[in-house]
Amino acid sequence: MTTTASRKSAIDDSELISAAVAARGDLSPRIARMREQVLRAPREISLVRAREVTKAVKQNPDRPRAIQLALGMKEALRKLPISISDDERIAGAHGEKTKCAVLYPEVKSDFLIAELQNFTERETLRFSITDEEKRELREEILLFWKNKSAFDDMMSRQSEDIHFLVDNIAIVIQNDFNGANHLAHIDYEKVLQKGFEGIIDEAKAAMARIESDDPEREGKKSFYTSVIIASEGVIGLASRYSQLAHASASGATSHERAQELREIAEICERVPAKPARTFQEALQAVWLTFIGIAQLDVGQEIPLGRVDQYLYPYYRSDVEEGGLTRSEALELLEEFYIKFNKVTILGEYAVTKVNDGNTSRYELTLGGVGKDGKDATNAFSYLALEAVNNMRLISPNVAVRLHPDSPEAFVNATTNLMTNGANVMHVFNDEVMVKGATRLGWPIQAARDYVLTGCVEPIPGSTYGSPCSAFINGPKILELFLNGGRPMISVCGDEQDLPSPKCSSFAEFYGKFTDYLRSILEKTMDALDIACEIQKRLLPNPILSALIDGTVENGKDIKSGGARYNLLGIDLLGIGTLADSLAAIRKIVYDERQHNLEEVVEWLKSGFRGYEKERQRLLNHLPKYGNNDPYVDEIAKDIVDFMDEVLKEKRTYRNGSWVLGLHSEAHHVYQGAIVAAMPNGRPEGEMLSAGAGPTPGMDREGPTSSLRSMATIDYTKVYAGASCNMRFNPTLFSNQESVGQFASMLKTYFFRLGGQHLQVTVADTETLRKAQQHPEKYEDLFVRIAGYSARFIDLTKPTQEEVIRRSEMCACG
Amino acid sequence: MDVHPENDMTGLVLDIQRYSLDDGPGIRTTVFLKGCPLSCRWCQNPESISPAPEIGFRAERCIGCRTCQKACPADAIMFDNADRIDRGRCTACGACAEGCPSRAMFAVGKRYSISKLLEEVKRDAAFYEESGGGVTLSGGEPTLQFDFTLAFLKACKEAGLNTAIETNGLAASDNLRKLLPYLDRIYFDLKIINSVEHQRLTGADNRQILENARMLVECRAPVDFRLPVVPSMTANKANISEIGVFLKKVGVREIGLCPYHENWVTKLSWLGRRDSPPAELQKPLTSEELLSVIDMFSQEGINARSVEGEIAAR
Repeated sequence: MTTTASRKSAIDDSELISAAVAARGDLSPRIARMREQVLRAPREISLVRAREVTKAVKQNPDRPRAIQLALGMKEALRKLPISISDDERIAGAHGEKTKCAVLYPEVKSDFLIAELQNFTERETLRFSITDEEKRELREEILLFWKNKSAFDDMMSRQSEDIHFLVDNIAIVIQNDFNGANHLAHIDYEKVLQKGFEGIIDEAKAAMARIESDDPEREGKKSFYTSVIIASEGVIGLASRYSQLAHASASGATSHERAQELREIAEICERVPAKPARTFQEALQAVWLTFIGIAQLDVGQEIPLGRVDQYLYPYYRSDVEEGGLTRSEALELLEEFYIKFNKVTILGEYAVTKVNDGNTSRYELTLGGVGKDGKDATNAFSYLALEAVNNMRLISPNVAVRLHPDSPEAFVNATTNLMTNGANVMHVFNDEVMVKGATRLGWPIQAARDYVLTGCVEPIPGSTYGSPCSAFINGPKILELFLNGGRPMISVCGDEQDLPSPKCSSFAEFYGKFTDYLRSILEKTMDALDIACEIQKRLLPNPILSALIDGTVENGKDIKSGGARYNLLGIDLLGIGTLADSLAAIRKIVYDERQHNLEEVVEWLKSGFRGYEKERQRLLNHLPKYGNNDPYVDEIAKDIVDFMDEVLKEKRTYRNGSWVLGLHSEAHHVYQGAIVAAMPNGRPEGEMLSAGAGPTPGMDREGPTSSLRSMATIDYTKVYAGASCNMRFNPTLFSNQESVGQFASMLKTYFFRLGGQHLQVTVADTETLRKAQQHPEKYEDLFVRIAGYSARFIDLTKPTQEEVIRRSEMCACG
Repeated sequence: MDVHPENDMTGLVLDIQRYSLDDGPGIRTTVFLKGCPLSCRWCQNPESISPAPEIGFRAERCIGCRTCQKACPADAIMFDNADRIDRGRCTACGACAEGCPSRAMFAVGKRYSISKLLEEVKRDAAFYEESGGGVTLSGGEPTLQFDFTLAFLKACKEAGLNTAIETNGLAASDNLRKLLPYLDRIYFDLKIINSVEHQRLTGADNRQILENARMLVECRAPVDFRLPVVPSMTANKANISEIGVFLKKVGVREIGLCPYHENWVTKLSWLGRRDSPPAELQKPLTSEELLSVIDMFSQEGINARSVEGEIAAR
């Protein structure tokens, strides 16, 4: 027969990849130069912000923290050395070096102290730092924050149980102490329509309205004051750029450049203080606002929101009336994108590894329905995608919202970009997201206005997160449960005592397991209440509060519950590993009664040493999530249903909803390292399943079966986001027809089966191996991690291996 | 829609491949039936040729636990033998494969009833509906298990599925005609026109094949011809010119090309075969070779395109 054993292109696949990842040939020279510069720039550190915030806290010991931070930020923006390069038309940088990180020692200082010597030498994401910078950081900044950061305070207040769980990495308390402080629905429209002067006026007016007998009078006054100071900080930075541009115009290299500089001067004089009037003003205003946000608090993830909604009016009117051409707009947008790649985060190394390859994520959201429920895709949505394809950079992370009535052309543009090897975007299902928010009580308009905030976490309109506040390590919980509350490996801290898990039926076993899971969830929620209290006291965020609906009305910072709506998300790690393991126990212990539970526990405790035959049987002969087998898929679904029930019973510290997530960044790799062997045949220390996905390599029946398994889960109950990661061989997308079939598969998964998220990495194993051997030749080979892109060569070895081990979907037959 | 139990015969299925994109329109599930009347030298699925179940062995997966040996009722497992299986004694009962923890031993060919197979393919119905896809029967040669193929296609049609078949054309014309009402598309291989060469390289005469090809075109069946592009064996000037002449004679101007892939060679050892294919079959088809075949067809006035899509088109 003609059928081929396994399909592989007749030519070298790596040629396809390098052709795909090469920058577009038709970039304008200035864009090509700026792109190249940011790709090659080393990571450096900017101390200005840490210095000024530390000073502000020291010099104003009696003032509220919100005011200390606002003063520090304002001063930093006043002192930050600034420049405008010859190619720039949008001014501004958050630091004085090409690609740099600013530091936030008041959030978490312990790792800076411990790792200071090592920033230049770690395995990935190295930072250059001079000896003088090291000295200043050590002696003048970190000394002050030693044991005094918000994180130190938060951990010192946690219970022994929480310390035990954290030390054994059964849970991770993230809740913004490791960054990610901005998972919120940021109202950029407000900046564009009112300007920061308008925001200041609004705050002043609200302050004047405070009743003299209001018991919260002082708190409200400080809140409004902090908003005013922070807003002044951003305006001040803009006027510095205006002056600089004006001064540089006279010495410009050409008449054209002088004209451009004068334009920059005019624009920065106007925005973001006043409302934007043109497309270029709008981009400039958003960018300077972003810098303000990143200067105030950890800027690891700052969502850019629905750019195709709030920028479109400016684009349209400029094109229709202002003589702006599409290609001019494209060039400005490309420059805007490039800027986000200059912002990086110096993270704790352990955390850097779990955000592997890319610690800073600035996500923009395109497409989807509008507040009225009708399709909101517009001409700018396409322009934004085109710029993404032209740039092919880590930032911004691009989230596309799709719904059944998305225009065919937009779906095609999206799937083309998903499959062309750029590996820089992902897609979300509006139907599931909107339903997910309304079932939690959000009004339909806010639900429809959701944005993606970093990886895969949605945030409805007028809402503050964080949807990514803690991780629960599902397989580790099973390990503890099977072993009477004691870890089987790497024991840290005092042991807990649990009754024996022995039961007469699987139903009884599962009931006891979920009881234990409930207790862990409840403890985690309690721990996060403590964390939120510390956030309120030590890490208020005046700039972000100014841009989130409800705060001005309530007179409260977002950390004090000022936003109109709130939510906190807890992620379950390793649902595939957990479901496979529970299915294995069900089958061999309770259904077929081949072994008793003690035997299974014995295999796990020994790490299967001496039990390879048993391990192989578990691995190869039992149902595995990812193959559309209800025996195991239903367990995954039940766990989600169960956790959803538990989370619904309580409200968060800020009176918001608790929501469940199934995404793992690279936690599944690093947390897997301390999990004992599992009943699914996974050896001790191996990675766990990623996101909502199957155990790598265990989905043996191709992508449709894998998707059907994942679709068993009710994703309206997974409103903190679920990542669904697939890897495809590039030959699968060798022609337009096969890209069309991919679009059909995506639409089936979303609109017929109820999937929430999908992202693909298009790269074959051979190419990835070559990139490991010759990283210098693969500087722009991107892969998708967990809702974000990273350069493959920036990943740590274990995560590189994880990407390679993902089942490579290829067409056969 | 349910299949009547009395009609629920079984067929020997080699594999079920989901998300197949080259075997017809849309997203498809391809069912490979075991057994083929040809034995092409380049056959990329050598395990599909025998119409009987077989046992495969992948040495690299073996952990040496000897479970297979204990399980084998025919005493056919030889641990000092590189192939591990005494093929003379082996009855392919499958006991070793069932017991093998690591799946080093595996059954090649599994019996499916019509209803079970239908259930398997219907699992992806949502994907077929969205994409305009369906089910493709392939092989081996599906018409070799004719009764099963006919019953299965009928069942697919009753279930509202789009159907296609991939055939080498070596079947009784009447049988092919009986399948037509239940087929939306037929992919028909034209390998070699010269009957001596055909006999030499595929082990069978091609008169019946060519007659069936003519018959299908004459009765306006939805047939697409395909050529497995095998270096030198099928991809030579003389053969392509003869295929061109044949196609023009029956009034067809198009042909699909299935590029040869060499990586089936490792499969031979799984079946205990020591023979190694000729050197020209051990390297992949180059894109130049494929392009030159397209070119040769175009000189004959035939529009040829790779079923795997335009190489490096994007």
